[in-house]
Amino acid sequence: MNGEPLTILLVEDNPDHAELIMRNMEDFQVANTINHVKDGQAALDYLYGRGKFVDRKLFPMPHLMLLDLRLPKVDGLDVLKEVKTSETLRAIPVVILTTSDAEKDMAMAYEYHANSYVTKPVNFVDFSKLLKDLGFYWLAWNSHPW
Amino acid sequence: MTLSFIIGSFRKRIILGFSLLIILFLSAMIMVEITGIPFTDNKGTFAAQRSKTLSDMELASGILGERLSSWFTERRVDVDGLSTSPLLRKSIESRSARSGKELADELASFLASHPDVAAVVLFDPFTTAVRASSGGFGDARSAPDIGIAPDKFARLTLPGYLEIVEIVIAADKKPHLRILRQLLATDSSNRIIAILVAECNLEESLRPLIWSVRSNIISHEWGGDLGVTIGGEVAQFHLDARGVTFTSTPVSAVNKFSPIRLALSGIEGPYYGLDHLGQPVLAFYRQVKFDRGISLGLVLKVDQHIAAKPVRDDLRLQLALWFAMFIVGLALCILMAKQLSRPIRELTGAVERIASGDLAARAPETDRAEIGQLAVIFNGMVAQLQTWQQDLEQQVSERTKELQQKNAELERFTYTVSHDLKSPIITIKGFTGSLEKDLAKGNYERMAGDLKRVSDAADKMNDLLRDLLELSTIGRIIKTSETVDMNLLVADVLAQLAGPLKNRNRTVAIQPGLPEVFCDRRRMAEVLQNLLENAINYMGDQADPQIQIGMREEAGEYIFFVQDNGIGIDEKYHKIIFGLFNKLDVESGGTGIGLALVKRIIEVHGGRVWVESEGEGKGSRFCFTTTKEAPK
Repeated sequence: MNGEPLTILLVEDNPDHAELIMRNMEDFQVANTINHVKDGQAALDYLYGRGKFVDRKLFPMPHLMLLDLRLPKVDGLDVLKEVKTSETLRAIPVVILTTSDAEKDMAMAYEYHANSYVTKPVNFVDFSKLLKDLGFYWLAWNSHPW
Repeated sequence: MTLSFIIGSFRKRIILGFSLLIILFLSAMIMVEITGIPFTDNKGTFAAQRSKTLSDMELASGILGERLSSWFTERRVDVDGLSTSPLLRKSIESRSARSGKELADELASFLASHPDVAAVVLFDPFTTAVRASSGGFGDARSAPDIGIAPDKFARLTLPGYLEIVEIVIAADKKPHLRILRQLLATDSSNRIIAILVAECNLEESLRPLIWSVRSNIISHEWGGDLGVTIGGEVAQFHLDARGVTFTSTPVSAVNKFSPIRLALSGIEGPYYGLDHLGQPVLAFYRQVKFDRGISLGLVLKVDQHIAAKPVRDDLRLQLALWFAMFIVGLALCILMAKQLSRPIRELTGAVERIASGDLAARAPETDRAEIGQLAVIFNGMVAQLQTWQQDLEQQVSERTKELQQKNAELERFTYTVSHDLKSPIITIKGFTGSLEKDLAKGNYERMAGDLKRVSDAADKMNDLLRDLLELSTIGRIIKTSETVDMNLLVADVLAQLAGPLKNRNRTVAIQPGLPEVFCDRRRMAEVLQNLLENAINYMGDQADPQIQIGMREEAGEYIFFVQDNGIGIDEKYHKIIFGLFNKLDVESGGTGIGLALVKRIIEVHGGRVWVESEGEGKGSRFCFTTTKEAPK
């Protein structure tokens, strides 16, 4: 921990799931800020600092992106593709966090250079542990280039 | 192994068949030429030639016989002339010293003027001594010297025994015609004053005679036998191209049925067999009768081989022609077979190409004849086959595409279902877990909220399952299609939606005179209801909300539409909004099944559904097609 404020961008259309994720993340206090958007379009707007996300102080570049796949408007895979092909965004670790355990989705996600692919566990304990591990791994243990 | 296997192709069979036919025909012609036609007068050229030769021979031998007879008579007349000559008789009677010389001169003069007479002699009738002679009798002194026995001579001196004519073998061993004649006194006393003997060398005399005849009426290829019986011997002259030869054979040694014997015995007719030399000959024999009981056997003959030569030459020429005709016939036959089999070969080629899968290949429709007709029919068949194949391929391709679409749809469906049904479970499990934790900690603040989330998630799950069930039943219930008046149906749906319309202050404009449509009435109502609900709900903050229901006709189908001037839809969402449980607005109510349901119903009816919108805020027009006619 170097004292730098750590930001997570959570892209999740299901408000209940978003609540669960944020609740767990807050419990473990690995991140300073969790910004939640509900669809793919909003996620891209956030990353590019467009529209209501223009203020980088309120909406800083995330240190980790938790991305659901089935999203309204712009699909999760399209968001991932956009991020990983962008010069400025590709360094951001993207963890696909989805209910889908379809092989096709996983294959596509890695094809588009997802950093990790995890399926939401149905069991609450597992769910909590997963989020804890994810947070520690990507934010505390993992070194990032900026 | 069958015959056709040995003979081979159709072409070879035609050639073989026609060659056999030609050979048979030409052979028959040649056979008729050689052997004639059975049971008719035509006995073939050989027989014709033979009978012609024989008839020529008959004619020629007749003429020759006449000539010989004439010649014989002439010699008798010659001798008669001499023997009745008063001058000669007076010379004999005079018995002067000079008379011997005078007589000899007279005889010599006679011989000189009668070249056919070879010798002449005068005997004294009492002493048998030679009075005078000329020619071949120079050495004779008395009658016996020339083979006249005393008893025969005595007969000659009898009065009235005027003349004897005979053929004898003379000193030269050759037959001579001998005429013995009484010479009578000049005083009409009938006193015999001398015996005159004249001889003609038959060989010498007949040679020019016969040759003169030969050059006219007798073929040069012929030969002849002239025979006479003398004292148990058959003396014969054989005439042929080399000249005349003489033989003398005992009668017993000459075959009784040889032509010369037959001729000598007075018969005439044709002969076909061996001659005296053992040569096969064709001959005609006849007897030539002279006066005084003398007769000759005459045989005209020709070597059978030589006689048949013109016919053989003719046949050889015919065979050459035959062969030439056969060659020409064979060439024509090959040409014809080629011509005949060409369409078949071309047809075969086309069939092979078609058999190997090239259905675009066609047999050449060469002519209007059998093969051409076959080609036309065959081509029709192949065209039909090709059409079928293309239809089949198209069908398979369409079906495959359809199946692929269905498969992809099913895959998407399964994926969606598993994803969307799993979501509420995660929510329920997540929040019950959180509740347990809070309960343990005694943290009751957010429990009510979390419990509501759990309850809502369970409701959501219930909704999803209900919607899914409905979606899955559409395909089965659609069977009860009927003709539906769309004006009435729209009115019914609007009546059902009267509440929401009134609450949100929406009005709907309906294009008058909507057509009748063959469909499942209840499902079509669902379509309209869903589209109208969307139009009502997604109006945004439009100050002058307008909803229209209408229809236009395009390419033989009705295109119905529900149009609004609400929030509109960006072009990139035009496809995914019809996906199962897809929602553009997370906050809006419902599971997101509405448009998926609409799409499913329209597609089950055989139509298409799509949205037309120029973007956000520009309103939307949901269109769907229905067929005009009821499916048969």
